[in-house]
Amino acid sequence: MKMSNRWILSARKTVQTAFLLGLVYIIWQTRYPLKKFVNPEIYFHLDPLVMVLTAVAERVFIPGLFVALFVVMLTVVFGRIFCGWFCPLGALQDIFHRALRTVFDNKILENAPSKERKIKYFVFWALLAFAVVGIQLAWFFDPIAITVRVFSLNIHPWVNRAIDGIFAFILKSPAASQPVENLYYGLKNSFLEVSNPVFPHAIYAFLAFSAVLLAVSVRRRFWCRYLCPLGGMLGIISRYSLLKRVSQKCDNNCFACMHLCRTNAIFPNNTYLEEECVMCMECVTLCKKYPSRFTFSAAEKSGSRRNGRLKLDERGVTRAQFLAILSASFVSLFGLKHAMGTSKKKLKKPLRPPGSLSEEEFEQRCIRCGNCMKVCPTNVLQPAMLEAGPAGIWTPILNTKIGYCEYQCNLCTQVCPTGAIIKLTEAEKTQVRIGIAVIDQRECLPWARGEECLVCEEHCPIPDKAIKLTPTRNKKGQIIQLPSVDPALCVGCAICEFKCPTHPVRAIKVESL
Amino acid sequence: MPDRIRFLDRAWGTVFTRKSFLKFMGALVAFIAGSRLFSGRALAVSGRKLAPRPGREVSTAYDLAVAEGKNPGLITRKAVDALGGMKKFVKPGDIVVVKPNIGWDRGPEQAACTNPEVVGELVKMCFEAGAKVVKVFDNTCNSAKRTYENSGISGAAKKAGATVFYVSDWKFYPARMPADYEMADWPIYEDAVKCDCFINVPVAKHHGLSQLTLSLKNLMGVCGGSRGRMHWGIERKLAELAWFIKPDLNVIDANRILLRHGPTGGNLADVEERNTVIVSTDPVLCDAYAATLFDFRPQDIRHIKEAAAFGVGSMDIKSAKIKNINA
Repeated sequence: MKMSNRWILSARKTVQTAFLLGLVYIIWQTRYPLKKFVNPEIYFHLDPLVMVLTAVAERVFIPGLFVALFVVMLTVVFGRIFCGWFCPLGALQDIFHRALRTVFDNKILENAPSKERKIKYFVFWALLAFAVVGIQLAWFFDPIAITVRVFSLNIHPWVNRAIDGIFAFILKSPAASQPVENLYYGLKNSFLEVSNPVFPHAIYAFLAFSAVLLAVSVRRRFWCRYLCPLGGMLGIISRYSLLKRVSQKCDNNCFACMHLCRTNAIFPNNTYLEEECVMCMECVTLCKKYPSRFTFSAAEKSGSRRNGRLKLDERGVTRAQFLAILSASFVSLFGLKHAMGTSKKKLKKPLRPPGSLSEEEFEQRCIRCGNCMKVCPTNVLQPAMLEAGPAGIWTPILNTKIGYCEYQCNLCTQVCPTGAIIKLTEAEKTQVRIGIAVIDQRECLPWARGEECLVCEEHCPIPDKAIKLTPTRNKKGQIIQLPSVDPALCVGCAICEFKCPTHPVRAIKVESL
Repeated sequence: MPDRIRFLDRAWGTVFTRKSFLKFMGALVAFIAGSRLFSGRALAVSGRKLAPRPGREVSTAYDLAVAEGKNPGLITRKAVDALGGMKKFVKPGDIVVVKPNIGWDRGPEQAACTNPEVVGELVKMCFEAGAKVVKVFDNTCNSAKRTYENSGISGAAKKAGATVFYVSDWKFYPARMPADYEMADWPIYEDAVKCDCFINVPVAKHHGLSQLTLSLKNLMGVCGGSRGRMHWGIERKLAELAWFIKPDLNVIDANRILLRHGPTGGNLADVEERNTVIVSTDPVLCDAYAATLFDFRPQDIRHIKEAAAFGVGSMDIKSAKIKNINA
């Protein structure tokens, strides 16, 4: 070797960091006024798992499929380079592992590829089988969705609150000064939110995410090698990839490349499984004596795979196993579909973001990425728990206790990667009906107690006011106004419910249509 | 299966050797301690209350100045000059609050928020009089970023050099008022009280409950808490609030007034061009005069009547010295 090839490791780490920071920056900028540096949709358009599964489950053509084709082509040429170099969850696992190793001095030595790696192919085929019958479960397993969701719903509010809290502490103390205050206002204008976002149920998304990270303490890239269906999908493609690892016959018997392979792809004889390899390039730089290489050359490649054809238990999924997954998936999903169908009848339809598809379609199209919840300026969009039924878990619903839908705002319709929320212009959005306001005359002050209130009418954003007033005399003989909703004008933005001063029960509520 | 056993063993060994266990517990404690900071609850809540703003006694040549003309900025300047100029109200080195109505996500042409040119001109005049800092803010009804931008006020005020900021929920403190006041302990924004000069700049418009929203009602923008509850017995509450804040100067923007469907508006048919600015040190007198633009008598507006009875100002426009200016 004339020169050190360690630069390629630095290159990988740089690319990983850059893409992770890019993702964070894009998520951070996903808010009013949504200056389109990069639309947050793009991360999901690049993700073939999300695109294919939503397209199949919904039987629609999604334009993002073309973008996802780019990653597929990338895999055909370079193998699972997406997993090793670009995936944000992969990068986070690498970073977390590095941190763990620094703190705990924990070295994990790998052996020959284990059978558990097949689980991810099971997951992938099962998800595809579910999609075929119209149930999209990619939202739970997709690494991009897992990462974006946690950044939008957990990390961003925490960081926001922490910085705001630190400034509050300083500005309340005697150390407060005009420059610090101006810095705070400047940050609030750019980096921070006006009011701290809250997502009461988001902790469940964080738990799933931390499970993925913590598993790294057991095996490096635990999620990627055992569970990730996107990894499985790209792995299947990468068997036919052009770039292959070529290793020399080695008599050193140190097995360093096998022991340190983060995805457990290398056999003791220094051959490897290309569907497991994420192109981290560690084995290339590790070995000084018999370094392996990656090459496109066909002549060099022959014999790089172990003994040519794989033995039965080394393959991804055997035919018998594949049939087993299929039949098990179909049996379970018919049960699931039946269960969902029966439970839904009892449920009230939830309030969905403006421009949402019909309830059935919405559940299958939505990948629960949290973009719409992140961008919402009033924080009204919240992840559902069971309000929308078991099939609607983590989908966005309007929580009118936390916020309301801003009348002239269309941001949530601009960031949906799968089209579960249709793109609307601001003018179109003001015409969309989310629900309808209903006054509870037993709670409403003018109706129930003959007192003045009219907060609902004050806030109603409809130019001609969807809340109409009828003057009447109360018991004391004063003239008061009784509010009533004009169903022809009301769009169900819920600002009336959010601002209604009767607590704990609001006297005006927005019901779904 | 030896492989499985090793697998578990390794997981166990990661956490449960003595050294790593201690490290693990250390990390856990650090995490919990850190999360207190991130949850925002680590900060102690002080029992601090805000005292009423003292205000400045300023005697002016006229009780009220009314300027009419096509240029909102110019008539604002002329009207203030008629009362003796901004130097009367703003002393060199002052911290000044200019409090416009930035309540709603509407453009300036809809007359739901104060005219940005009026705000910009006032900020400029404050700096000309020697102000150190001019703060412009409002506790908005619609989402703050949208209202600040779309009303045009943020842009105009920043251009004139003002410090424009969004209100933070930790800066509201309970108001110290006599216990029988209904507004006692209501959360008030600190900056509204901690200033040398408070300039109240409402827009004149219709309101479903209080009939009109003018300078008294505009003071609600410095309040926090459940502002909907202020609507219960609003007349008295507005009078108490005016007593607490004591605005030094009230500038009612009536360049465009909203005649119906207030305070939000949204329909240009409800907007009328009146090209007027009304200026007074007395918020009640200011409101009483503005009420006549809507063909009301001052005593028809309940909160004006209540405020005059409460003693925060006079609604007697007949005996007031009024300067009319045409520009």
